[in-house]
Amino acid sequence: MKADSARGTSSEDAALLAAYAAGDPQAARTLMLRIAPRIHALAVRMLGDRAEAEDVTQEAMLRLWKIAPDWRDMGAAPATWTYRVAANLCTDRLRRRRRQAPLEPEMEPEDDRPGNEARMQGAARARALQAALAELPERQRLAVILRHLEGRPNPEIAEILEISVEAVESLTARGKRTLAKALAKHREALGLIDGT
Amino acid sequence: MAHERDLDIDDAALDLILAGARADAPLPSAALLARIEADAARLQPAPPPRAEPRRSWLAGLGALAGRLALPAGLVAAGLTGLWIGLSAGTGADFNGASVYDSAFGLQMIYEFPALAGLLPEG
Repeated sequence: MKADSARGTSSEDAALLAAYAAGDPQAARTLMLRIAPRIHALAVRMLGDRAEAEDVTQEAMLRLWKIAPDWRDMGAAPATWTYRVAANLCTDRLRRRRRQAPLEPEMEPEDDRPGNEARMQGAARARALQAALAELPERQRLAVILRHLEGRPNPEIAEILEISVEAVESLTARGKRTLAKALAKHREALGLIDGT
Repeated sequence: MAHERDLDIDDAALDLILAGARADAPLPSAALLARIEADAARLQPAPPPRAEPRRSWLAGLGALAGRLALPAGLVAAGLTGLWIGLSAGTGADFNGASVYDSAFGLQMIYEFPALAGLLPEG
């Protein structure tokens, strides 16, 4: 994303949040449709569980609505701030999981209808990627998802993770290497057996 | 074959896998969006009440005169007398120009247009 458009989007989000706080009923819907799908995608990929990801998304958005009347300069754009909240909520849940029984990544149901080879291949790739992501340490997983799946720029990731841009670059590079190793175990599911 | 499983995924293949996943992002359900919207509506501050424009005592006097069915000319004559009395205290001349030059005078003319006809030239 270009810096200018990112800034434009951020200021539009801030204006929508101010309009929401001022009682504009349309502003909440518009802002929700801009931010919630991104938060949901991050949570699904971090947690590998749709029900938990929905809870995290709802909670992160709830906190955004609550802070709206007091939103002045929180030091971040509304979407970045909500990403940070969601990242922390995901981390909390992953830590809680480790203290309890480990949870297998949610598996999409098999689609065995005839003629769905391409769809099945796509689902197998998604499962393989989710399983490989689950092997990454949390911070690397967050950085890889935000950079390579959510397409966020490094300075924004630095704000979300509250680290320097250089640290983000290092984290994403290490995360990508770890992911490549983890994915190597799933070459067949990825359709890479023939070296394609 | 076993040795193929040990091969690392190269950068190009990894970028392809990530691009495919990026294009196939998990979407929130309609039920989740409805819950988020309901939260937003529940927590939304009420819009500030629209401030009623403040009515001047002159406008109030006009409304009272209307309610009491007093002739506008009578009210205007009374106000003109009041104006002359106030002007006398300041030593200023009483004429049309002096009324139009003051905020109070202009407001009297606005509230009681019949007053304009009673003003002396000048």
